[in-house]
Amino acid sequence: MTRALFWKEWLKVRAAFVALAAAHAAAGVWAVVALRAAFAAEHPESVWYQAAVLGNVSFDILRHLPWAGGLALACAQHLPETRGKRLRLTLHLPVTMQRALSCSLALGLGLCACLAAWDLAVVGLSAAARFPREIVTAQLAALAPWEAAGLAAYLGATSLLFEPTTAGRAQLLLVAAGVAAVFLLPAAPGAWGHPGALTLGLTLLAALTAVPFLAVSRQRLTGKNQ
Amino acid sequence: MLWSRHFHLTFKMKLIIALDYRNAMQEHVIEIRGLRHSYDGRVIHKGLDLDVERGRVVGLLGKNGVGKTTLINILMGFLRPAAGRCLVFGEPSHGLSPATKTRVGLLFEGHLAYDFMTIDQIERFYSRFYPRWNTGRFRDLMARLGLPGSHRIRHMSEGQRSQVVLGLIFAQEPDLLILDDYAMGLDAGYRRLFVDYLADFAREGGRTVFLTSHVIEDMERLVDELVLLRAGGEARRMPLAAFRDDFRCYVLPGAGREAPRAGGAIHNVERAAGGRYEIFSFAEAAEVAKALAAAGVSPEGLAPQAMSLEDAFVGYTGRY
Repeated sequence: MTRALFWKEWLKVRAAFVALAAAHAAAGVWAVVALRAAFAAEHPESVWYQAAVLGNVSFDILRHLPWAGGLALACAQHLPETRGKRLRLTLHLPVTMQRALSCSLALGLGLCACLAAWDLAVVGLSAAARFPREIVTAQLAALAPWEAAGLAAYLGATSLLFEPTTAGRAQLLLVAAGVAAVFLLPAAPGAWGHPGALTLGLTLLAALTAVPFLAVSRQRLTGKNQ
Repeated sequence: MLWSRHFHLTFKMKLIIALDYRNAMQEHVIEIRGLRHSYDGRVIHKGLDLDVERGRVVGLLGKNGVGKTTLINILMGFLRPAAGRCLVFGEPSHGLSPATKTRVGLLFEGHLAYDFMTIDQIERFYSRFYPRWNTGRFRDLMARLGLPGSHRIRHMSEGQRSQVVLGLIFAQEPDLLILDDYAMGLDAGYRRLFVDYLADFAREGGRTVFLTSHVIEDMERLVDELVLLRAGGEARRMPLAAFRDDFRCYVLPGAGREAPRAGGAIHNVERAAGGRYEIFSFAEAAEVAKALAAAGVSPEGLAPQAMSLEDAFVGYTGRY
């Protein structure tokens, strides 16, 4: 049954995922080319200085792609089941609501994580060929919160789609936008490597993960069911 | 030792017999007691009691706004009653266990289905959840559709989709079917196909069906019993045959008469075309004439009038 639930989720998102994978692949290529161009245009010392001290990166294109992709993935995955009371179909499946929703979120978050892993791999490998390990680590630490914003956008959009009330949706929109903004705000180089910042980020994501479960249980017995 | 062994076996046998007896006695597939529900202070159901026994096909009828959808939502487990209880196979309808859900087939208004799937995909998906899955039933209905298995449900007409949904529900081999306005959006041909398949399915193996429909005519082909809901939460349950035989319509010429009022033997009065009055009652003509006379209305010209089930339903529940 769990496999069937994952399969159903995959059927909904596969087209969107392929499109997003293509976009991330293109963005990765862009980042590699931009890094090569930077080294071709300036002295390596200058590029190193900009990367190490000023925190400049060649993959700025990846700042907005993850959160936009998270939104798109959540819509592709959940809209087919939250319009026209179709959520009732899932709620009547002979499995618990928690199990059905866990499979749904696990697949969505897993796909977001795959895209994030691709971005981190491309940036890490291309940087490792040109920079010392400290700068590579700093560059990955700069990219990681943007990828976390993608997870936050996915979870936020999922919560919004499952939330039964307009007022609740407005509140969730503010919360989700706030969390995504925390990850997207400019931060000093290495700031997200601090244990406190890391804990904050993980706590925010964990809290957002619980919201879709609350939203579905709130609306399960309203008779509306989207 | 021997006695103990003998006693042990006897006790086990007694236990088995007792469990069988309990299952056999669990005749009420649906059991509603003292059900209350309201929206924003407007009471929809106030203390509704209703049982549906195993093997019965029950139609729920009522005008818009009398609480049919509320009752169906509660039965389907998508609404928790404000008070009272609604049990399906002995479990609260809003908290059915996964095992009990496998025994309940739901048809949602608008023939909801995972429309992003194809015919083959949706069968593959649902078959994983139902231990009694019967592929033959699904394939039989799909063969009638004449569409390839790769056809996406999103691209089907309402009638075609209704057949897919019906096939899925039949293949689950449920013990209880709850159908919410299955006729919505279907043309006469698809509706007839749906009703005929459903009637055959319901009558094999003692399945229980609880349904609503706006097409009263279908009820004659399908149901054993009717539950008639009226505004204010009043529910009357009776066999279909009894309703057809006992509920009558009498015509009374207008001719300057004051309109008769409902009450006592007179269930409802409607003004019909030509200035006539239609009087609906469970009583014989003589008793109705007596009730009219007692109310100061001359019963002269009172005559029985034949009516269809739909006429009877409208006469019972009243026009808007």
